[in-house]
Amino acid sequence: MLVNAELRTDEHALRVRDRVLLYVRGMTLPTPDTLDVAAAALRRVGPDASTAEAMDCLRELLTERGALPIKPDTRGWPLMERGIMVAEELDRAPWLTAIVRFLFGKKKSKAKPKGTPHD
Amino acid sequence: MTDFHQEWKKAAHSRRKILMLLTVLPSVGAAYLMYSMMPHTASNAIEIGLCVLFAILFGWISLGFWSAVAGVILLVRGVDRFSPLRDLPDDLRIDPAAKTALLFPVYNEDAKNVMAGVRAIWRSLVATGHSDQFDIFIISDSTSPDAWIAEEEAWHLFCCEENAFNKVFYRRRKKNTRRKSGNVADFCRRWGRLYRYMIVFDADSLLTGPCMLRMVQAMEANPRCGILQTMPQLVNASSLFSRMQQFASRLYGPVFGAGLHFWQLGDAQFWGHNAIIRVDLFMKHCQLPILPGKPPLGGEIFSHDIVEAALMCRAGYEVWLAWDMTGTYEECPPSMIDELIRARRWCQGNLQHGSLVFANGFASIHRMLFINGIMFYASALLWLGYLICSSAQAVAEAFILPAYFPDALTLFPVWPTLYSTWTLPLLGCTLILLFLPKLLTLILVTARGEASDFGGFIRLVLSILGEIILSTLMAPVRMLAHSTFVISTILGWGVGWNPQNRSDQGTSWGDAIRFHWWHSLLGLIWGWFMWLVNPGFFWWLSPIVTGLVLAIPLSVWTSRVSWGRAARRCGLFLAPVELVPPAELTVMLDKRHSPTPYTPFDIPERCGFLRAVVIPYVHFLHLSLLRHKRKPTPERLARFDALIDKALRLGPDSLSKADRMKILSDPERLHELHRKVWGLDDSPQAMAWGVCRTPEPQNARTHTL
Repeated sequence: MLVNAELRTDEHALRVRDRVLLYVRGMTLPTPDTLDVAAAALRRVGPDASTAEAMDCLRELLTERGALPIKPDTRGWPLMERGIMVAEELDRAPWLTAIVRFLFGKKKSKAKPKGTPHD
Repeated sequence: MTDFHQEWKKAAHSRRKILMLLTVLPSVGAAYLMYSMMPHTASNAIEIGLCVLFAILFGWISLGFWSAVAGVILLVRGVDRFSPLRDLPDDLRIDPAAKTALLFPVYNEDAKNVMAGVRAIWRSLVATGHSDQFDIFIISDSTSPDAWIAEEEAWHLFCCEENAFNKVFYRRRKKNTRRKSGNVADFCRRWGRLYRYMIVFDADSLLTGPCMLRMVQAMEANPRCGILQTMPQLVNASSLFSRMQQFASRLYGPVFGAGLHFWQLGDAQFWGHNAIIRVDLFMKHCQLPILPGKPPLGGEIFSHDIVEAALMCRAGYEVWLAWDMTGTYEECPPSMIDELIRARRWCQGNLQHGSLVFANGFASIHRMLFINGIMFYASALLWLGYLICSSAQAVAEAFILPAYFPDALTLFPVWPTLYSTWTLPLLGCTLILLFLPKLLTLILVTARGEASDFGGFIRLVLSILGEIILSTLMAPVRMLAHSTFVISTILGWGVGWNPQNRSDQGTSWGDAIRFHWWHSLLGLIWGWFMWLVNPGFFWWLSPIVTGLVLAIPLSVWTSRVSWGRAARRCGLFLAPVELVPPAELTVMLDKRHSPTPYTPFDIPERCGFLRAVVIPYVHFLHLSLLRHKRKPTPERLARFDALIDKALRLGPDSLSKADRMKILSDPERLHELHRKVWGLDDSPQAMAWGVCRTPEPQNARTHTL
């Protein structure tokens, strides 16, 4: 039950509260849950906690409740089925190759040309 | 070989022989006429240069002319026995095992625009009822940390909204090896074997669901077809420049497409997007070689698409152009400068093909296409050379006295005679080659009752005249720009792969001056000089000079959306796609302009790195998409710690792009930064990170009331 006993104007406490609320608003929890966990964290650390302490406490609570780490539905890639892609042999100056073969008497290779590995 | 294969090969062989004769013989004739006209019968270097250049340029524009004529004949006949869509029933059943991957290679693009296009395509596919046979891959090569995060967010939002998980995938490559062709090859090596076909898109491409189904059906009906290229229509043009291009593409595109198909048949070109590819053949035969030597002429091949088509045909398979396929679209650059930036890349890529012209195994038509691609830009240099020779001759005529006795042994003077009666017929022939295709297209469109698609006959004629005037004025600027590209590429000054401006923001006066100042200066000096020296020749040169002098205002005004809208209000440059836009285009544009989803954070979507550090949801989404990384060494850890300290003290702007990429690539360091940023007290540092609005005063802790 809320009691209108003390009107807190401690600016630091207000800022810590806003920081905690901002963090939970940046998650994908339903609104009542976000307010609930933020309130629980602020109660746990007390009014004089630093921002870092409040945030650590918030993260602990979120982890306890299974809300952290957030695991968005990604299903990023299908299963891989690896293949190869290799450049085939490409003689860019066949006329030069023919001249060289003619001059040096090299026989044409009857074997299938091998691809040059790239990447 | 099948009967159909033999039949089209035979027809292609005959048609190409006819094309050669139609191009070469008139060019030789025109060059002879030119030679006959010369005052000194081509006995000096300038006149020889003029004749040779004229012959080449005449032949070059003849190719385009005869393609257009062939296209008109094909369209008039209405029947194309070699069409890749011939006899294809609309309800042809697709083999359930024939899965198709839709690839969207992305490089530092606007993620929202890309996903808007993907959404339009996805919905169109779902509406066909065959979406289970298609998967979509967003394959990113983005090097910008902000673009990377924006892509992840946009993809995830899309999948949540459209329930497209397990159908639409996102992958970002760490290394941009071989640019777009390497990106596609990387996909092929990882997942290519899962798919029979793949359709490659550009960031601004759009294909409708029925069109993609038709493409798959055509491939299924022709097992020898390795690549089926469609002819995309230009859409979504707003500026005057892009609307003019859109209009011209819609009006003349079918004619030229049919003409290209007429000569090429099953040895057609591939343009890198809006095409379907048989994956196993592509993987087996279309891996690109690395050219020897250094860039820009050596190294990775920029214009990979033409080479891939040539490799496919080299392996004995077919590449067809489905010129009559509907439902295929793309956008165009919004301004002249954007078009020239794109052309700079393409020029380098096309010139690289020079080293492949004589490579073994390529079909003659593909060797011709390599040369054609080179000539697309080299012809500008030849035209410039022709104008320089013409100007030099005009100057020589003004200053140099004729040599009446060139040969000391002759008794009779030689009178240099210009046979000007040949000038007009030669000029007439050139104008016919340039403008008759436009007239034939106008007649064809009117006869088929399609003038109303362009706003009616009068508006169509006015639009054609407007297009001719604007193109004539822009041609000299393109000539100079392309000539510069060719020369700088040959001299070894390369170009990076810079993303295009695909938005209609318009060219500023500053940019126009920076880009075109020397065009205008050259035009002014050239025109003034010729006016002084040879006023008669000045009038021949005036269209060129006018275009150059007006380059700056032309570049600015044609880039303006307001001028494009004004032209539309006047009914100019209307295209059917504007009057009756396809549903997919409407969906895409709606999504592009849709409001940003609500967020309590004041961090814009374009600040991807900041969002990944600060916003919990974005942060954990990015972490879940990162692949496992090896544990860094102690030295690397120490450098990382120093980087994070610097980031916390000095804010995100203190980090370089490389620093941001390092942090985004390391899940543990990124999470540490995320935790520490949220732990900052309200301070200027926290403000810089977007976790508070104002810094906390030093004595903020007041007493309770």
